[in-house]
Amino acid sequence: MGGICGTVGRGEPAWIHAMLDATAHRGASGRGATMLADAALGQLWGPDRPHATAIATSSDGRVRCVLGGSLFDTDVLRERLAARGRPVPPLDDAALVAELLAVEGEAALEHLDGAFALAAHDEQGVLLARDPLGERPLYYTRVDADTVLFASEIKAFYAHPAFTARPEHGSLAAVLVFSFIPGPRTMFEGVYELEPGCCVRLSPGQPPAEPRRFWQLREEVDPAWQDDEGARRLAELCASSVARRLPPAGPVVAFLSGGVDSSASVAFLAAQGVRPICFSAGFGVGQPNELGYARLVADHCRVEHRIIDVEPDDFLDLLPRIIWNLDDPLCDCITVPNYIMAAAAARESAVVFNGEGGDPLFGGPKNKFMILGEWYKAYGGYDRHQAYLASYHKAYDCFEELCTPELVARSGGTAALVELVAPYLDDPAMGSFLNRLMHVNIKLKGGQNILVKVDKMLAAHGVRSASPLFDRRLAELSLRMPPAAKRRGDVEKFAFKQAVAPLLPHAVVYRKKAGMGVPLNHWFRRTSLRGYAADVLGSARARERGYFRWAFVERLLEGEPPPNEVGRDRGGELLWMLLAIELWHRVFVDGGGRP
Amino acid sequence: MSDARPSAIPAAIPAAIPAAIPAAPLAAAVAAVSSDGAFWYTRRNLMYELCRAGAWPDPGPDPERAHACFAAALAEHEAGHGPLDRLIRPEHASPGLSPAELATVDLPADLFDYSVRRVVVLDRIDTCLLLVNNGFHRKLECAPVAFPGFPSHVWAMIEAQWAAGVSTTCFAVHDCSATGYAWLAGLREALRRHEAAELVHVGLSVPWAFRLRLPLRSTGQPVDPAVLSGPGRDFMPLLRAGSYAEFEELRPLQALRWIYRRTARGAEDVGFG
Repeated sequence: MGGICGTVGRGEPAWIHAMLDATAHRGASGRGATMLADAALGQLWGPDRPHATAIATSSDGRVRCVLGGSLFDTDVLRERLAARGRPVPPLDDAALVAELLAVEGEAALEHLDGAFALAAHDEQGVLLARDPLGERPLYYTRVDADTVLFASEIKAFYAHPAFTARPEHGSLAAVLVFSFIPGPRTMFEGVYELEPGCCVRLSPGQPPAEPRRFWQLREEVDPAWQDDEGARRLAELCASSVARRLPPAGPVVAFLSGGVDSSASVAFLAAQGVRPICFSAGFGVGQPNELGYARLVADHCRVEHRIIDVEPDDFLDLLPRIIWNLDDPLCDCITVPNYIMAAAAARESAVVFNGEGGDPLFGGPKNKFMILGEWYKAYGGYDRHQAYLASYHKAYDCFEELCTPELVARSGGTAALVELVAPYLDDPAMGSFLNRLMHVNIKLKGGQNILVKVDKMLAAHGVRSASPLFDRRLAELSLRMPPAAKRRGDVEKFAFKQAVAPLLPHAVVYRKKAGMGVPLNHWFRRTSLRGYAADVLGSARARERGYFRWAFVERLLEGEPPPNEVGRDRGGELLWMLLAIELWHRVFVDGGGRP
Repeated sequence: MSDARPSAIPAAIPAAIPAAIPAAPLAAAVAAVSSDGAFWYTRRNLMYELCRAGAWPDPGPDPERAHACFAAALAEHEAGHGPLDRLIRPEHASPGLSPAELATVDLPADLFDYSVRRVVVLDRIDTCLLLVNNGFHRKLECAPVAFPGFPSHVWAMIEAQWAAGVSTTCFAVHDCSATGYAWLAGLREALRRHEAAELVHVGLSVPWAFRLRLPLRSTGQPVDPAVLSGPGRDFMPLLRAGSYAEFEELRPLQALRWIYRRTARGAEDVGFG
């Protein structure tokens, strides 16, 4: 966990302190603010940073640094400094970064591994950087000609008197298609997300420079890859990835869905002698769930297992607060169980492990639709970019039926989203189509949706998220694996399953993917969520925004699927997105940033 | 599998069949079968839509001839008015891609290393393309193919995975007719050679035709009993007597939904995210 915030250019102490207040949940162990001549830097930290202070300064005094989160492999970094004649005793992570930047400049960033967002002040201004995979979020905005703000959470920007939230309509189109916002934009006009593995220069009195990638995934397939040896290496790295995220002491919690990824995370913890308390979500009597598999894993690993029921009556009142904690309307309904389980987890531990990342990193099931699409490419009806947008199975297929012509025009429609994905899907540097899909999924869906939502739902309760499968070294290893080691025939995540098979019951590893089955259709048709959604979406306030065609929304509220839906009824998923979008407006636009 | 190429234009169009398709009903039929431009459709989809609207004669006892006449009239219409959007044209479809052709359409090398455990086998290239062009395989993990052999590069992959022992469920979809069930028998016979292939019959039956409100027509021509030999179903006498209902009488949206519901069980659910 942890967080940073600050101003570049004109700044007032009151602003930085208000920014720290707005994100205080990220700093269970401490916080500090420092006013400099042309910037103000703030930092919040958790128990994983016992040596943290308000700000760290390099030994030559040139670089000052704040850091939210933490670094891995700090011993390696210290050795790196020692080799350059700068022996450094064990220090806080921010101090280490300040020292490295002072010695190596921005080139040092590519050697940083961890879950972090950082700001470093030097003679050129402030350098922002975010960890390679995006475990910790970071945003910035220029509020006036003299001031740029940055923070781990957008809500901190309300601390500045000139900040006003206005919806970014292009991002609204992205939300409807992806359920999140890939790329640098956010739902707030003029507010930018620093993408994973990127850095950006902020100089006083200047607009932010173009962000620069300091870390890039490359396809370097190992021609000598052997299945058994590869699986062994993968298992070792997974174990190490878990170990590097463990707290120095104290209990650990893990979210356990019963799928292979979260089960693997628990199994690697157990294999290291850590016995996490595992939390699973249930969605009411009679609703499909994976609790049986979760229980099987818990028994197998001999860990405590608790089930938390999540039903609409338990969370309707929480929805505005959940949206507030998310900043952007991330429309994955799994945020609700994550938020509720995080509240329970916070009573047990300051760290929660999860299994996020297994699918994007190791060739999960969503790739198959694109692969099948390519098989038939010669027969028409297929465009790679559009097919990828549609593969999220959200509102792409009904975008123009759902949205008013005004919104279609203002947002640029779905065509404007193609440029976000085309560079990945057509990347000639990646020979393998599977790797292209993995690359786009890791960068966009992973770093800008999965990791962000997990970070924020847990940080809301003062808990640090640990996503060991979303690890830089694992991502690099995955791009060294031959594609057939990731998808062997029709077996997804082949190598990963081989790696975890010795640790888990066979039925858990080799069963079909079931997805996290939040019963949205049931909730919207047969529970209190139905009335709540009708009230919110049917309100004059919502309809006056002029985004959606009421007849379409009304049809969904009446329990009918989207008109041209061929497959699974996704009416509940669409309603969830519309609800999140409307609540976002109420909280951030109408309510001035208050839940 | 019936010939995908348009049937030869009949030497003389029967008097009951109009020489031209009336423009206004055609436009309405196109809008209906394509759900206002959302779906691709076959010529038969269009013909049956016009039949329902009373703008084209019922195919009656000779559906193949009726289709040929309709195709000819439609070609005439398109020659004068321009090509219809989203009309499936199997005569233009490549029978399959050779390795050399794969490279020309920018298909990355690893694409054909993967396999798929679910195949939807259709009795016509038209209906196979109905699924392909409407992206059915991107909503449900399956490979649509027509038996025998279309598209050839997909068939080659599927046969390779059978040879490698990858168990594969083959959902057979066909018309409710003697021809359709004869085709099914041929498919069953062909798959018998492949231990890894499991045939699941989801074709149009007489009870399904009734449930889908499809009229059962008759050719009036009894079928050689040998064609429909083997384990009988209680409606087989109807088919032997020449009764038929065609799958393409369903509108594309209805047809795709029907196949989805009959084939989705057991498919992986990728959840929300």
